[in-house]
Amino acid sequence: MSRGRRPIAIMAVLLLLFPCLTGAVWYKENLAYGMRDAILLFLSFAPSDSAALYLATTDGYVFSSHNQGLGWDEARIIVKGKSFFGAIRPTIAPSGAPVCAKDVLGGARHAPGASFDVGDMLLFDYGELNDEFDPFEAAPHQKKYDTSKLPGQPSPGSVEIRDTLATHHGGGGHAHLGVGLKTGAPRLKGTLRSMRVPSVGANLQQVLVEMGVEPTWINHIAVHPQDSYRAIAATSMGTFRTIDGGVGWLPIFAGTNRWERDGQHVRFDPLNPDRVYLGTQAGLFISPNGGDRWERVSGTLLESAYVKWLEPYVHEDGAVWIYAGTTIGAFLSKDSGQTWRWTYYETLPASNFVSSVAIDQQDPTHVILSSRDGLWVTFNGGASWETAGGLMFTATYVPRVLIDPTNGNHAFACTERNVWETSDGGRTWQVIYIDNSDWNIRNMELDPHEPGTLWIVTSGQILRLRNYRKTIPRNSRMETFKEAMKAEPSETLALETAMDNFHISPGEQARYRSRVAWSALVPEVRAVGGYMSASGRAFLDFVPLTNIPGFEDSHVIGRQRSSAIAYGGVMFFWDLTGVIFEFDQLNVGRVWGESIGAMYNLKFEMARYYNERIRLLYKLIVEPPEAQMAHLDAALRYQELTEHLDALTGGLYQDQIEQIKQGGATWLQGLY
Amino acid sequence: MATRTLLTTIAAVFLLTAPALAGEKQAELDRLKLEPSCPEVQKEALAYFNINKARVNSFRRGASLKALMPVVEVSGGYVDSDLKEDTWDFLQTDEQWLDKLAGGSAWDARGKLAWNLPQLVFNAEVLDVASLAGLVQSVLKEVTRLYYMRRRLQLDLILNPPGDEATRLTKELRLEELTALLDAMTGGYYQKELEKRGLIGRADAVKGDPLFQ
Repeated sequence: MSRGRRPIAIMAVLLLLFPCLTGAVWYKENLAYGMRDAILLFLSFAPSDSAALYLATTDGYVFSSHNQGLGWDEARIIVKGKSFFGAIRPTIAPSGAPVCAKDVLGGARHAPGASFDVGDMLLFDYGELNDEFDPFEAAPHQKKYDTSKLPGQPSPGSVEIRDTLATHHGGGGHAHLGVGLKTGAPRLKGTLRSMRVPSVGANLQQVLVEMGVEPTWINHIAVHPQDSYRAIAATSMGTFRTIDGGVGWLPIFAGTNRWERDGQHVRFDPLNPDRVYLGTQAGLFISPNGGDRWERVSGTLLESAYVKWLEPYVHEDGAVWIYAGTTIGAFLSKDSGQTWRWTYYETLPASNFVSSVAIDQQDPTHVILSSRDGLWVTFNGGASWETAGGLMFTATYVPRVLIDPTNGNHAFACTERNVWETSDGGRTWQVIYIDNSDWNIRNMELDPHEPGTLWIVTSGQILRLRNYRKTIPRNSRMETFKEAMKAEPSETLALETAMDNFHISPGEQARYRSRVAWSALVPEVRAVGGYMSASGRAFLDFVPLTNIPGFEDSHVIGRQRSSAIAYGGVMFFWDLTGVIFEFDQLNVGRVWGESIGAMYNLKFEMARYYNERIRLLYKLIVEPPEAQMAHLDAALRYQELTEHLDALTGGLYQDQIEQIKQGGATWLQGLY
Repeated sequence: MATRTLLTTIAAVFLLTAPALAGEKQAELDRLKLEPSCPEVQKEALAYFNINKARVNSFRRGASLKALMPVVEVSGGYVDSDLKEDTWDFLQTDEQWLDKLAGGSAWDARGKLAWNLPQLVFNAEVLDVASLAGLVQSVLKEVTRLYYMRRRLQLDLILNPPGDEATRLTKELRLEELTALLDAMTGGYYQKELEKRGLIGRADAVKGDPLFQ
């Protein structure tokens, strides 16, 4: 082999060995089934219970699972409504109501036959009223109220109330309850109206989803280290606590202004769970009693910093260290948050925007920070920082970095589309997951109870990545499952049946559309009939001007006329242009768009339910959960999905439902 | 038949793997079976929102046949008018020398019927009805989820009774909330049905609690 080719050969061998060296084979499954279509944000594990998970969203929903993501319960963090023009902004928000009078009145300006403008309704020009009789006009040629001569005065006609927070993620824009009727089906609404049926054209979907609640962005959830039913959620509308596993949430901290109220990150002290750390948009707060009372950290820049991340660490000497990632760098406390020092600061604002912190559990002087300008690593406790991965992540937003608690050289980082892995403490990185979905990666977590398992949260998925394939048991139950699968409708059949049930299958619609050309051959018929009667009379009385004999006297001439007519006719109209081309035959336009939208939604929903149900069937037959509650959860979810699929398909799962209903469904009877 | 046998086998497998329950808990769980089933609740919700299958089909049928009915127009009118014109010649006679009087009345009645027969072959409103699919899906999704969230909570209360009062009350309130939501989604059917079956209070696993009596 020539010298020139040797490096290439070595590289090829290394590339072949590389997956083995890094353990780069990952198996993925999505667990975001059956939950509401909310935008997912963050997944939190309960340190004390491997089955308990909490999921934060941007829409106020908190999903909680007590069976490792098999089934999810939802709760919504509700804030108090404010009774002003139907606004549902919480009382604590200092903004106005989400109403703009000018927009509302604007519609009246172009009413037929009339015009209306609120802008000048109180501006009176001199001479507008009659000079002689106008007692209001003090001096000629002067306006009564002239804004141009009164600097700083508002135009009295400009009436405007604006919601100053509507554009923030506090959610004012979404809070217009019931505003926005669906305009997508005017013809249908017309039909319903003509049939005297209550209109269902209102945007019912939105009303159902957002009924009476404020959509609140939930930034982070921390679960109590010893009790999986206790958790604290940091949200844009304050900090909330649950003591019942996520069923109910009660506010515990609202701050004194909206910046303090905007909780970004919350953590329990690992040694003393009564001590809770809360990072907000305006400083760090510590509660000594589980969230009942909060004290602001003072005497440091953290007092007012925008705190994005808090990462505690238990040192071998028993002290609790905490790293605080902020938008002005990172801070470190080595005494449970009592004193702090600035440990990381760079020149660029993007570099200082620390989105997360990861600490090497074997060596706390090794820390990696993620930021809006890539990753930063220190190997000497913060004395010096260098970019992790060279220029690979420069100018890239990295939402999260994690260090494997069992191996400090092994770490993960996620950008918005990829997940990366390092095996040398952060110096070099390789992609282990490329996100080609419609969703952005939001965050990720290492499973504290299952080593080698990485959970990734995208806006619409909860992905569980395992670097090993689960072994499939080969026993008689597996055979039963295989037999059961033979009796199951295929996914294609289920989907087609559902689409037929809703009459939205593209084939059916296209067949119907093809009739539009033939419709042009059928005439439009008009029949007209009527009757008209008229009578008229005329008289002429005149005196001749000339004295012609015999014409001296006046004359009277009269005439009368009457008429009656009955008429009728039938007319036929053919618009034969439609035979050549008719717009409705195109698969475009509003009607088509609505149908396609409905079809995609149905397809998506069916696929999710179908696949989750099959996985549950597998679990119930092949690997039934040992714990009674987990078994029951799985069985109940199986029943729920079966009944939901049956409703969507119009009865395709009747056999299965019948089995559940009758004693034949003894597997459920045995459970409850 | 083969499917039934197979499903019964599967059921037997599940049964064998299911842990047994204590008698009183089992009795409480059995009571849950008396509540309206999920398909019943789904049906009522769709009927309440006026989007059950029969109704949607009737919308579709109505849209395809509506062209059989004509658009009717009836119009008519009556007019009565008089005109009088007098003329003087002041130069010669200073007298009125010409009077004209003309008048009359008329009335008419018209009827017009128009059939848009091409719509019998194709009417875009038939496709419009498909827009209801999204609404039906939403209602089904909402009501099914609420139903089973409530059921899971009921089971949790029975099988894992909360140890402290605050948790118990929170969970019971949540149960009440879910019951009320189901009631609202079904136009009052759910509550009425629970009353009819004598399950109010008991089925919610809050028996003896004056708060919910």
